[in-house]
Amino acid sequence: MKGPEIQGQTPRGLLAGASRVRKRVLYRNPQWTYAALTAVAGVFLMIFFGLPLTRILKQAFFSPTFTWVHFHEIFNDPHGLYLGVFLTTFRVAATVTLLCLVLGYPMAALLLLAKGRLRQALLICILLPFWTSVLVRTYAWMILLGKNGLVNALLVGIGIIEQPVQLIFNTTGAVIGMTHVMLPYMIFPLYSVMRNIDSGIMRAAYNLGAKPWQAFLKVFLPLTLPGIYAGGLIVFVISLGFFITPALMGGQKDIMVAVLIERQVMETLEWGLSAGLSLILLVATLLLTLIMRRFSKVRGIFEQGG
Amino acid sequence: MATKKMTRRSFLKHSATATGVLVGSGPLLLLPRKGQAAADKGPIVFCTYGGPYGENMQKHVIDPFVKKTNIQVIRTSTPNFAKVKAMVDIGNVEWDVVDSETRLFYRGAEAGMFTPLDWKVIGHKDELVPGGVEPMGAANVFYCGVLCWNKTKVKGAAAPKSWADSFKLPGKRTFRNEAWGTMEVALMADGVPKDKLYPLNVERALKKLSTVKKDIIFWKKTKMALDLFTSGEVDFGYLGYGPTRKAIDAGVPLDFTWNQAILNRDYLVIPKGSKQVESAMKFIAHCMDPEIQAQYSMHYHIGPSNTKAFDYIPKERSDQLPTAPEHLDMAMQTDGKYWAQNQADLAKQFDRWMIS
Repeated sequence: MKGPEIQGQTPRGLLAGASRVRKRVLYRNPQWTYAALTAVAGVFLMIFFGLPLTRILKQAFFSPTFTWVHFHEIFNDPHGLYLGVFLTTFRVAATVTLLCLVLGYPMAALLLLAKGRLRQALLICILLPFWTSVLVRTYAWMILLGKNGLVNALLVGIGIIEQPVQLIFNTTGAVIGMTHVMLPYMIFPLYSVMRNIDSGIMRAAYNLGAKPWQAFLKVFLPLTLPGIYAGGLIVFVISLGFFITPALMGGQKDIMVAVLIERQVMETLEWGLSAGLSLILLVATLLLTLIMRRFSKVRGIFEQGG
Repeated sequence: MATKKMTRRSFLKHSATATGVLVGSGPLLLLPRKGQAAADKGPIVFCTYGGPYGENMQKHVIDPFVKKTNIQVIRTSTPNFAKVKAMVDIGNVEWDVVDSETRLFYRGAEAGMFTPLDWKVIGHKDELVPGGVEPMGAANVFYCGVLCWNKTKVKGAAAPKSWADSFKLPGKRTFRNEAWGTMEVALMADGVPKDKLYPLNVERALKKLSTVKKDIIFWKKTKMALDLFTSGEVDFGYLGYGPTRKAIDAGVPLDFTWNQAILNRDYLVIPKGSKQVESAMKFIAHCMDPEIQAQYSMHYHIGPSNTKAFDYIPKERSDQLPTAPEHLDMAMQTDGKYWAQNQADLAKQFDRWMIS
């Protein structure tokens, strides 16, 4: 792409050009800029997150002298309670992430295409679950998915099934409920990446004879990969710590690790054990983040066109 | 004072005056005062449950106390055992009186987290329900969970009279999603008499629950439990008596039995390190008063702990309360002490069963 002077007819091109010039000055050393921008938040996190966290970690290993007892209990439970719960947690989080991607990608694309009122309406629809109390949401899902719910009534009514199927209070319910809450976290990173893709690139692809699906698969999709990685990571990590929605909408087997931690902190007061569980969850999450970073360029979404 | 708006200037003025007074009266403060010590007259913070329960407490328990003693009470919610432990451990106690669930009460008492109560100040010792008088806690309310069913689903003769009956019924049912209460239900359903439940035979309880496991939907929040009934998701199960009564009064077709109701009690405690011990003690004494207890039981479906309270409650109301003498005979009382000692282990066994 050439400089702004040449294609500078459209206001859009002018703006893009101007911002590129500014960027060159501001972002001479992007690392420093990022560091400066995150410094305040970093200090805040150090004090209000880092310090309490070290206290928690201390409780995992000291009781009051150094001990492995909590980790021994976690890894050697006679019935594999904790490992089973971790497995459930990761499986549910992965399912939710995948579903969010499948549902969120078209939604983000729709947001990109929609204009004016329609886009506002779509945004409100996406954000609404954010502002709804979890109990109200669960109740609403119960009305839809319950034994006498709309979905079952419809399916029975048109003869697809004979008996109502269990859609809530099992893993399906937990996944549906969580996906509903997590969708915005997937849609917005995707949308922000998609919005910065030059529409000219797609036109160029068509011009060069690509069919729509080819243009999508070979041009559009690869360009949105940073959004997919970023959204996926956010959704996955938050889902790992989910607690109230799966507890309300899930079934007997859907005990997430956060539920156990909550109970140990609040009721049985096994703070050492819960600290151990938290530590394992934290380390697993960090490892996963690092692995994801190797595969992706999560930084990419901050470097539009750079 | 509270209504007067305080500007920065007036605040400075006031604090200057206050400092002057404090410095000037320093030596005076050291002298023993008759009656209330100055430091013990401040407002007490009472941590109890929110919602209609808390509002009822405010209107029929707290407000009369403030009027009577002129000691201000700040009501806050919700009791949180972990918070109390943290406050006591760190030595920064914000709550002076806490409404504490029975098993947590025994746990805290064992750990020495509460101030011993002065029963001479509190009084009413002989009038409280047995078990209500403890060195570190005074039982103030009783509430229970009952076997409840949807009248349109479980009709006429099918209506269960006991937990054992309910386990013979087909259909979806609901229990609380933890060991607490659910173990007791299962054992009673398996024919264990209600006074021989403890120590709990966990294996037997889980075996009994396994027979209906695929038909159980576990609830986490009371509100959700009620929704399960009203939406027809379940036909019967374990539900708190309060929500049951409220739903019935609102016209929901529910019915329940007092038989084998599971009775829990709350204790009022003073966390160790409270700076308002004397006022807190007075407040607890006030909460044990039979007339006060009668007042709140008239307006909220909760059982008074003071048996004398029923002298002030008409028959048609006491028929609806968990601690009315005839209901007390039918109910089983959870053993908070046993739970306090075994809760962690019971919770784990229950979770293992859940995911198996």
